[in-house]
Amino acid sequence: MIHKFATMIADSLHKNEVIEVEQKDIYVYGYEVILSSILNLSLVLVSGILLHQIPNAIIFYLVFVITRLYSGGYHANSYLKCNVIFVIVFLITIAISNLLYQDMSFVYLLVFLSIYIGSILEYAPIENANKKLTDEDKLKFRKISIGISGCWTLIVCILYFLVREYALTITITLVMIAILMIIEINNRKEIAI
Amino acid sequence: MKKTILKAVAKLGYNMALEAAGTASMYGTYQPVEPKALQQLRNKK
Repeated sequence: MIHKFATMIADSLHKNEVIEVEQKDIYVYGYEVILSSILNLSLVLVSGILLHQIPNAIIFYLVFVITRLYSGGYHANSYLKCNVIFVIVFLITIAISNLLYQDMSFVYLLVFLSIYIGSILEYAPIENANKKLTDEDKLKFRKISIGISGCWTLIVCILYFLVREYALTITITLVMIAILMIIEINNRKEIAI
Repeated sequence: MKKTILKAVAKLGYNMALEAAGTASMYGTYQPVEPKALQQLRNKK
């Protein structure tokens, strides 16, 4: 449905002589990205509103999107599956954050962060089958992913002593990103076998 | 007026496509197949 809608927009632009037919695919791709991103953001925000977790929903979305821009990770093979998994990951993140909130010590936080950092050092960036990366891209994304990991670690360590709830949400989101990276790597190993 | 709005819509789609092409995973969502024309455009830059 997203693809159809994106194609409709591009067709309309072509009919009105705003774009050339040779470049239509590029526009369809751009609109698909815009529409699916709006849908994903809306799903997380609505879930956040329903759960009375709006700040955590915004934090989850920002951490998830910024980190995965360069690290990559698991993606389902359709928009519907990807959106459903995205919401499930959000709900799990919120549930774990609330569950661990009372008992979370600084040492546990560092253990969780090291799982995420370990995954980044081992696997980032993970190339998507639909999105080929050049060797230059891979090296650049790896460096950026490591830089982003350093930033998140610093932010989490500071927030732990200021607003523990948000520090925990960021940390659990990062662990979920690490798990999604490991799932993607394992899926590829199974396909290779 | 209509043409100006359509051009703005077109520019938005084009820029987003270019932006998405330079990432490992765009906005955490399903990644559509990157068009060959876009890959060629990126390689030129």
